[in-house]
Amino acid sequence: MCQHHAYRLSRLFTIISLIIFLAALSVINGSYALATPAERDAALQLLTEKSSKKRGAGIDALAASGDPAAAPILAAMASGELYFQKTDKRVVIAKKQKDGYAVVDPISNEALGVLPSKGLRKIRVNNRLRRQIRGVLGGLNLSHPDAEKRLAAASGLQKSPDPALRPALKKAFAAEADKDVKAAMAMALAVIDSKPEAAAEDRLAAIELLTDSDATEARIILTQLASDTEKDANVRAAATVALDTVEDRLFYYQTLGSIFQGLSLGSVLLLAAIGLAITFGVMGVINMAHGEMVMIGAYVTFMIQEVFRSVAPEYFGLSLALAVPAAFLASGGLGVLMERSVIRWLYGRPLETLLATWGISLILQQAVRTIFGPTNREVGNPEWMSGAVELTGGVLLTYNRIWIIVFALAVLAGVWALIRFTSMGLEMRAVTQNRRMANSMGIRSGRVDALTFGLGSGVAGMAGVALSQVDNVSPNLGQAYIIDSFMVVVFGGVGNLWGTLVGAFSLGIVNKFLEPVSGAVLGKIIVLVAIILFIQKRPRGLFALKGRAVEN
Amino acid sequence: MTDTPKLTDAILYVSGVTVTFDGFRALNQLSLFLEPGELRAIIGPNGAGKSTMMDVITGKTKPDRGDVLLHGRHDLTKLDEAAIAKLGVGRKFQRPTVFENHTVFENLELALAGDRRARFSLFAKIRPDQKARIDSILDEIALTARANELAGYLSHGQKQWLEIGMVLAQDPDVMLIDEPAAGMTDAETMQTAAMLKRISGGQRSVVVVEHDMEFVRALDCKVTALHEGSVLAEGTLDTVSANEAVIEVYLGR
Amino acid sequence: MLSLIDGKGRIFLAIVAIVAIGAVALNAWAPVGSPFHVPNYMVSLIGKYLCYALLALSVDLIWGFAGILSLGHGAFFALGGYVMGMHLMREIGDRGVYGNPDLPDFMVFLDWKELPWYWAGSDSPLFAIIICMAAPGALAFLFGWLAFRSRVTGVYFSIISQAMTFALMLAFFRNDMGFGGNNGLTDFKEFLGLDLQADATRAGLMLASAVALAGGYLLCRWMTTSKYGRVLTAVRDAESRARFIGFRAEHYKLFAFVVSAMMAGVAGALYTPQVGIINPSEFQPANSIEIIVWVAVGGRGTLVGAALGAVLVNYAKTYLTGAMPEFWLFALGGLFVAVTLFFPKGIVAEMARLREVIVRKQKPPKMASAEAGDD
Repeated sequence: MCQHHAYRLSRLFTIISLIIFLAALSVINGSYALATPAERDAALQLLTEKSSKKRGAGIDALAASGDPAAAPILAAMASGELYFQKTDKRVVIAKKQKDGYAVVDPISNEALGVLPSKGLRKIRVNNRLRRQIRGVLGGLNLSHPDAEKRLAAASGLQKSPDPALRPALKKAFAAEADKDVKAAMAMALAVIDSKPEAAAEDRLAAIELLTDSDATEARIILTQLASDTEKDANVRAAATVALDTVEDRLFYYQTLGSIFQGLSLGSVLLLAAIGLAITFGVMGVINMAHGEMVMIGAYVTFMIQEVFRSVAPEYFGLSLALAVPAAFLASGGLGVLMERSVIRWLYGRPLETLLATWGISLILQQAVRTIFGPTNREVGNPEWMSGAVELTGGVLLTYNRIWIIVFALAVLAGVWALIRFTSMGLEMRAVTQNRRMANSMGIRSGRVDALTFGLGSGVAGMAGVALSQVDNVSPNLGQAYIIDSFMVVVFGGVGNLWGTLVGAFSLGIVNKFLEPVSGAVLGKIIVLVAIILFIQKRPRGLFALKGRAVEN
Repeated sequence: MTDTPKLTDAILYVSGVTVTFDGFRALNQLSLFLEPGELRAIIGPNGAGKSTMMDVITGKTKPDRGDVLLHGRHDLTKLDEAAIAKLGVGRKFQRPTVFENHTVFENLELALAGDRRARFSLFAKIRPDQKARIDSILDEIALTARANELAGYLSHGQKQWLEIGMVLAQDPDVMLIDEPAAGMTDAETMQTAAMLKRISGGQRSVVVVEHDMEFVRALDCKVTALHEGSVLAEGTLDTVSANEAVIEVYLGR
Repeated sequence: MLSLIDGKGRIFLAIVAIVAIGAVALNAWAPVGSPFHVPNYMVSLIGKYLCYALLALSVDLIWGFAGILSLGHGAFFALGGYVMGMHLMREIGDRGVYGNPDLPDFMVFLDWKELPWYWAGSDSPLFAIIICMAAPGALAFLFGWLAFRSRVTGVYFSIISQAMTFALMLAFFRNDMGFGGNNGLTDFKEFLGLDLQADATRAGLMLASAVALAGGYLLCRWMTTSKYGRVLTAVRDAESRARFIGFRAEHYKLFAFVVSAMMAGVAGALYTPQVGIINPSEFQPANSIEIIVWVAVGGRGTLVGAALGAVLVNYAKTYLTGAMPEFWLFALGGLFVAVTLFFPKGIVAEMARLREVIVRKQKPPKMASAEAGDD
């Protein structure tokens, strides 16, 4: 496709060149001004040579001629459609047909009729030449009017640098206006100049250019230039300095990336833990089925998306907006049911509560497995959640992760406001502080218990909506988060939303900082062991409430 | 309150103890001196710091500032509950706390003075003199008839007595008794007062925290009134109850 | 004072002996095809159940008598199993796929050149016997010492013990740990030079499990009927009261916890050769919680009940996962809920109550039997 495009354009240029030959071309694009028919023809003759070295030289010469026909000729050569007539060594493009070869003149595009195979000889290409052609074609695209093509050409040159293209590249670089393309060209230039064959001052210039690049290739080249294989001491020294600069910068990017990833993991932990902070922290109920409440939220999202897909696919983007309240109601309702049927009989017996809720979690898991099957369910990202913004240095912030951070903080703020400012929150706090007193003041503590538990479960359901966007939706979803959520709550301090926030984000960030050093699994183990040790030091967590009420 | 006894005279020496919980001062520069064999009643309204004072003496709560010395040489602020108990401080809680799944006899057996180490307990057998001691305590707390019943089946008042008996079985030099008469009938209250007087008998230092003024009167001993974490007044019940400050605290301003 | 072996204990020990010896005898002498013949797989199955019963006893010792709900006890069981597995791997010798006389196959596969230091001595059966108790014991000591010293109790202890087994599971999944990673240790050939596939070896292992169960029971009985046991339950019921009397609650708990972990380790060590594999999934938190339900079903704090519960629940599991695999988790989940709501004292206590009701109908009421309702 790309070559076809280039071909049409080159024809256009041929026509223009007939009318306003030099002026027009030099204005639009410098490199084409180089073209002289003699150079071109000499290059073409080189292509007919037996020795592949000479043919290689021909490729470079043809490219350097800047002739508009160079690109289609080379493309034809790479695909094995370039021939020459045995009689006059005239180079032609020939396509095989039933009755012989359809021959076209590569320069004028004039059809020369169908010729028998006898009079033609194929211009052979081996892998080395093919690679060379690829590079050279890339070089030709450096002056393409389309910025994307130029970028691709420059990137291609970075990967297979060809010193022969240096002059063309330098020209293109000087004339380039697009920032990204210019950076890519600078990089390509640096890659070519950093070769040992280049002059020392070119290498020094290359180092300067490479210092600004974040690419891995740049670092590899700098490392080479800083090593003993580099003969010039000045270059070595400059490369060492540059390498330090680059590594410092990359470390900074990496740190930035880790922080974002940590915040992202932390927000997931926070979402999973807020509900637990309510049921465990406020009510003192160990709900081992908490993870399953999260899972149910995720499956609600799945079901709602299925409905959208079949009924109103054009409004798919709204599916999550509907899933959030639906998941809250589904998980919350289930939570109220659980509290009224099982948990309320077990108040004051935390270990029994733990076992009973574990039993419920098994039942819920198996129920979901029976209904939806054991495999992962496909939950889609709506359009407004796909994609990413790039910070400097390749640090990608994906929209879904950003949304989850925002969502987690919003949920936390909502829960906090609910507990702090509403009458239900007031009753909740009253019941937790002194149940009998609250009862005697006319608060129906049974109702408050059910609603509190429902709130915690409902928040877990909302967490499930968010998790469905970043994790596999399967019956095991909840199990994957339950231990981490407990760690967050215990670490942050029970009964303290602020502690949950700090706990979640610090665990997330520590995890992500450990990962590159120790590997993901070992990092997780280290965090778990650290929390186990931390609990010994502060059995009531980071932000423990002190005082007589807690002591007894 | 005026004369500061010499360190060596006091079996229990509490000086300048301050405890704060989240900014709330439970104890404020509290000082208290207890002589050997002394029976002392401590009175004060709710939140005066009576239970916190006991928590500090028994090692449950560490004070922010101040000294707590036993026998003038053991710094109790540096020790934990078990170590303090072994040094000879026994405590009865405000809410009666006995081992409900053990028999009355076993409760006393566990409390009986002796080696507290786990490895010793594996091979421990009850000696005849220990049995005799338990029997005499059972007699003292009027529970001989119920010795082989689970402590959980006892009435509230009997649990109070059992707990006093357990503290007694520890054979401590200092006994801290928190609200022993709570939930008792009048007869039981008087019986308890007599029991504590007998137990002290000028031999053992006993600190009793109580609200019930009839009970305190029956104890017939020196009284310390606490308010807002400090000592408000000290002396006989009559002098303390005549004290202006005490009247103000108890009757409101 | 309670005697070491009471009526319940006598019945329990007799049943263990009859089942174990009877199964071996009927396996060896009753002709195949006769209704009395006990097939080989049944011998191994009984052996497995006996190991589970010992594991349940170990949990009952700390949960029933010290009130410590460990959600990570499967870790000690798995550790014991791994220690035995290490030795069994070494006994394979050069008969492995790669024929390396010293290195187990998985190490050859990972291109390791020599045994890691912690495999030192694993070629001796004494290693298996000593370390299968020492390793879980040491971990329990470390974990318990840290936790009990800082008074981490109740659900907090439960949660961090669950985190402990979870961390161990992640660790054992790693190839770098040197325990066979994902696949664990398997393809065992011999123990003490005896072919593990042979009927006699299987019977021997099953009998050893029965002896270990009986021994574990007597050990628990001895501990819980001594003054130590009375202090332990005192700590369970009123920890601060016990402290103010002068008992160091943490020492009492720690001792029980370590003994319990060692018992679990022995159970794991006997389990591994009988099932032929040990892998990281044994560390799963869910496994540890399942042990709790065995104990709860049978009766917490009754020892005999714990062992009984282990056998009953596992029999139900074997049956249900075969007959209706979908139904098993519903049944297990329902069991958790039903036991905590309706039979918090478990089967043994319910039976004792039933007997009491019957006895009371026949005779004039006597003093309540205190012994069954130990918690």
